[in-house]
Amino acid sequence: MVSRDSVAVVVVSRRHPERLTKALSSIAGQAPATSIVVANLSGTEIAVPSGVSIVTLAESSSLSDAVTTALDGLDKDLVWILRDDVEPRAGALDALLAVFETSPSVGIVGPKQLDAEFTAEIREMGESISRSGFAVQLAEREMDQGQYDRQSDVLGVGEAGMLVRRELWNELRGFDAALPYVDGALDFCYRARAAGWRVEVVPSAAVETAVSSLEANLGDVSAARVVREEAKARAHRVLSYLSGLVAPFRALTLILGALVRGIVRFAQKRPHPFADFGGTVAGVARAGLIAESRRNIARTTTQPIDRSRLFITRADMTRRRALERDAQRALRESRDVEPRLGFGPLGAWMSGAALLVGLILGHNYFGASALSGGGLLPLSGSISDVWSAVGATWTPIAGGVPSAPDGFSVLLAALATLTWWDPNIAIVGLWLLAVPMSFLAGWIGAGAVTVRSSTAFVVATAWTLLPSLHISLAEGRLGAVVAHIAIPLAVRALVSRGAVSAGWFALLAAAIWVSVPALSPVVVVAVIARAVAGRPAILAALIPAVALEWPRMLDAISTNPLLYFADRGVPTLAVNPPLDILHLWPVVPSIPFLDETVSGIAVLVVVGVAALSTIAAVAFGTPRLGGIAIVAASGVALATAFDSLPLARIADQNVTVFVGSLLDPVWFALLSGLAVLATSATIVRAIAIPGIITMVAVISATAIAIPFTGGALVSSSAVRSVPAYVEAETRTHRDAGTLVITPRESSIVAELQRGRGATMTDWTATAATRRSVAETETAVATLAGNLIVESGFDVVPAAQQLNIRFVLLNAKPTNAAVSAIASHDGLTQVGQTSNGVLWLVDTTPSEDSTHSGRNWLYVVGGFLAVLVAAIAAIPTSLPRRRIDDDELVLGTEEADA
Amino acid sequence: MPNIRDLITAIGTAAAFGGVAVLSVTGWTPFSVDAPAASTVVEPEAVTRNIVCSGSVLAAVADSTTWTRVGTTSQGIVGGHFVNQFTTDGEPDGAIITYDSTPDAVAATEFASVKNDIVAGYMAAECGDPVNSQWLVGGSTTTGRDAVLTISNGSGVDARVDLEFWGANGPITAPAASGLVIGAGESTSYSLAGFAPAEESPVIHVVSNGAPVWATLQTSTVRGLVPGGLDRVVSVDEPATNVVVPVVRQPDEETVGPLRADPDYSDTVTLVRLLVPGETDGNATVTVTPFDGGEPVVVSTALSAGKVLDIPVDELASGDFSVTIDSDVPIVASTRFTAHSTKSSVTDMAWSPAVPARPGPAMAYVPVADSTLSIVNNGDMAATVDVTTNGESTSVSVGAHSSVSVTVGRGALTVVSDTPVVTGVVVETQNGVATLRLPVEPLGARSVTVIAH
Repeated sequence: MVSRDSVAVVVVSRRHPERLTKALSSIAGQAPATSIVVANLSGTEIAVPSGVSIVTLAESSSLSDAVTTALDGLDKDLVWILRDDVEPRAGALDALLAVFETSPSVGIVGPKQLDAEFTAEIREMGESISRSGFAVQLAEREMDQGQYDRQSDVLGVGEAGMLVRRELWNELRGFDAALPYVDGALDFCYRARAAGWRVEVVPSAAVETAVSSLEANLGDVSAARVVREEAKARAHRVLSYLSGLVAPFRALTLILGALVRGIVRFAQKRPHPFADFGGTVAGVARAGLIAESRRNIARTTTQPIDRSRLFITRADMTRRRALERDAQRALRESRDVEPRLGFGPLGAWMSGAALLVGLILGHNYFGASALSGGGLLPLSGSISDVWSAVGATWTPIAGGVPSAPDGFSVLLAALATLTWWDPNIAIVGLWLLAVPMSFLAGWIGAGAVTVRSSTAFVVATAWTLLPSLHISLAEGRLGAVVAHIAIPLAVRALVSRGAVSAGWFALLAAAIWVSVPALSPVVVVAVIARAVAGRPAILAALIPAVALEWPRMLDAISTNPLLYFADRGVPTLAVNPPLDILHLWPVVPSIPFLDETVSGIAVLVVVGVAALSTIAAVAFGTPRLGGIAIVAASGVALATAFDSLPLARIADQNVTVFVGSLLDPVWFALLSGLAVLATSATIVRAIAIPGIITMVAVISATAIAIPFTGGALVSSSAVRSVPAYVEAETRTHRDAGTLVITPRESSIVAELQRGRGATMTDWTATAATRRSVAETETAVATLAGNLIVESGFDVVPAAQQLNIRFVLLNAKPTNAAVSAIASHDGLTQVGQTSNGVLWLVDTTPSEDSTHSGRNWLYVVGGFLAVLVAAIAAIPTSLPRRRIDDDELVLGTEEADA
Repeated sequence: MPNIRDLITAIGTAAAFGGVAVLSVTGWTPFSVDAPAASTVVEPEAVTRNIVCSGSVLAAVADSTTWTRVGTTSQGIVGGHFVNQFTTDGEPDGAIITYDSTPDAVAATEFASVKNDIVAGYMAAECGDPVNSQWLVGGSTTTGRDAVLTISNGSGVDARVDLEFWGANGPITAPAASGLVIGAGESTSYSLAGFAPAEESPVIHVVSNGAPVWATLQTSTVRGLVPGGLDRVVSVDEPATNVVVPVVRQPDEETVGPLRADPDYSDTVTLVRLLVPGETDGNATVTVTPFDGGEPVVVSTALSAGKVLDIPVDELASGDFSVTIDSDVPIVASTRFTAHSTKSSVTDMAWSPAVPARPGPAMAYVPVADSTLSIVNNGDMAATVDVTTNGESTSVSVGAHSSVSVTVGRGALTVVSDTPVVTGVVVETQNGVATLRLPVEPLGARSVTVIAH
């Protein structure tokens, strides 16, 4: 009944007419030439063997149209659909026909599709869809080991080599015209099933296909286009199979799902994250086509499809996805063979030791509710207040001055958010953990130049001992502490490759930049150097830093560009005297039993040895260190240039930049050089490692010992800096001012505090570097100058104008100024407080002035820039599955594998 | 062997290191920034500045509750005028003086030369700006020694004064020593013996709550029936770890030697009185340096907190000395020295208080011609001091860690220095000696430097 003669073979030639001859010759043995029709969609003339008929169609015609046209006039019961890139193996047609012979309920059969190039690999063998409508190849790109050969009953088969009953083809009107590229065959089989026919795949029938169905229909297009077409087809199918009532809701969930998948893909930094979303939207939007498809389905459907059997179950989908991930990971790992610095037991033990040392050095801060002194002031007690300083264009410092937003406020807010319930805990925590964090940073940073844990140990330990860290902690230089922790990490991120390291570098560079603007030229030089050395994309990593700093840069340029480089935070004088810059040491060393001159010479010797070691290490196999050292040397040049510039001021003291941060990069290079050289040979290691660490510890001893010698400016303090009475009053009037007067020998210091007193975020860079006495400062000065003597000055109107509610004399109650202040009308003495003598001024507290100006462009721009960098920095791959041998040398790993 | 690329990088590294080393050595500073403006000089409007003088020499002649004026004082005024007097026991006494033209250019000295059956000696003390805290270091309340504490309130409101006392054996709990109300425009005198009886070495802290006051301690001595010794002690500065007494005049051994044979005259020895008003014991080094450039005498001593220590400084040659006291805890200090005139046979003593170093301008009215101005420079830099006396200005150079004395005339004396110096004047008459401080204008008398931020 069913014979070869009843089969019409339609060969659709669209993209590979050059393969047609081969395809036809392989068909020739299985079907008579007269039953073969070539549908030419290629737009070129093609020659066919005699007996084979040919129909020519427009290039834009679909495969389905081509088949229908080719069948015109042929009186055959079955259609075998082939393409020009498909070569049926011998016996394929017979095997397919055998199914029809035995099973009259079968409407469509398909062969096992093998890859024409790797003929042992299955390209397609039956299709299905998941519960949520994704098309799934039952076997895709798998080695053919006969593992699917027992399978027959499937939801669908691919178009290549598909054998269809003619009546079915006609009844269903071929493939859906709305699915010209993808899933046309799948949808066709689905409808056949719905119409009561069975679909089977026949493992014994094999065809070799050179390209996939999608490529055959659409051509060699971008991966994004593929994803888009697949999403479009899926949306179309899903909506067509549903009832019209549910469809609008399903359309919404489709779009939402695609959006979520897009965001996830974006976060995972996978290519073309939103192609899926675009395709879905495009698919959903084709309401007319969907309606048409739905009508067509309704017309032919006779029975529901057994979804539980034919659809892919959720569990199976999960398993398939897991397999896919594993395959990708294996692929990635096979490329990733470069050895990396591991942490190892040495790193873990020594980090524990660093934690202990840090806690011992920070013992003064245990239980502190806030820190102040030196460059530190408490943060506001509420996280929303801390964030409100981000982008603020006004600061209450100096009685209130306009101020450009700067990135340091963002850094503070980000830090404070770590302990959102009490922002000051974050600062206390940083002070307690700075030592172990520096150790970890040093260790990770050492990975830029070494894979040896012993080298990393030397670098990390010496980095933790450097006085730039300990002086910063003692003097409350928050920016310098952050920079000390961030610099090694930034170096490591900069020398690495990939989006994750670029994201990390962007964040770290921004942190360094906003903390110590004087280092910004070094950051720029480093990025340019890296861009030139084969990573041009890294230039984009400067975007977050610039996005966080542009208003401040413009502000500085409009006054004096040099002012931009002033340190951030409350300006503070260096109490630990800086050493001559030539020594490359940020503080005068005091070595036990040696006087200052000899100590200075000792430091010079250490610097000399370190410099020579670095040069030697560069010459003997660590060229990357050379790059780091050359860039870092620019920091020393900056330190020389900025050394004595009075960039900022606090009261009447001029404040210069903190040299320690500028020397940090070069010390990272020098320590790396010392460490690399010292650990290069086993013989010297035993002496060199303790030698270097002892040397650095001895010349850093003064700085490290500050917590015990009482030289620290930082101390634990209350969160508020005004008397409790004032604090209570300012609950209702947040802007109420307190004029704090501190008498000195021959002058007085007058400070106008708003609300609960100045906080860390109030000291913007603009406020710290202002050059002239602000108008409000003059008003404050006039008021204060007249208050502390018995004068005829009318205090109340002047205080009212400045919204001053309190006067606080920071002196003993027996100070002569007490009676002078009391002699003025309109002041009521509240009494003595722990902060001094307090008066209430007879002013009406004005409503909170609306100085809440905010540069929203800055806030949004900065947020986006940081967000993009942060997303880039999220590691998307699991940690490597390999045993990291501590002393691994390049090359041996491949041998092990 | 290193490969050529690594070698080139190494050379580049060396060049970079060398480059920055050269920049450092040559002090490469291509940029300059002007220092920011920081302070504002404010001239307060319509400043009120009154300096006050305590008034007559008092003694309790009939009984201990009534004061008798046993000597009148004169006030020499520079750059100011009387505005009022205090009411003392219902009668006017003392003086309230205000400035003529500018609030920083007014000074006055109150002086008296007394020689009667009750009191004999010479006193001179500057009139000063009322303050809220004063430390009176001097006097004695042993037999024959009298001390009168006078507190004057020149302001328009009452002052509530608390007194604290220390003696050789520690703090003295005195009855009724707190909450003393000194009415506006009133001056009240108290016998120190009433608070600290039979105390050889008293120190008084006068603390006023509310209106500032001017407190002085008049000390007088009667040995048997012979009066000899009068002075008016004014406040020293707040406790500090380094204090300087500008001048002590050691009398001639030939004149005082014979006197000291009499045990009644044992208190004519020069002495340094020290007190640690705080809670912590300490150590002090007293350096007595002669003005003529001789070797200083150095005495080290332990200080017990709260116990007044009198250190006799004998074995000094005659002449002028400065006394520097370095301590590891804040102290107050003063010195006492004696003079005896063979012509008038009056024995007098003077208390010379420690004075803080200040650049000035400092002003005084010198009541006697040919007095001695002492200038002590304990700083590390030489000071150029402009001294204006008799209407003439002279410039005096005082080297680092050295002292100079200048003879000054009667009337206005102004001292201005380019670095902080300690100054004092010794006035000597037939009836005795006295020392004067040169008050500087209080903060804000004319202009206030305000650092606002």
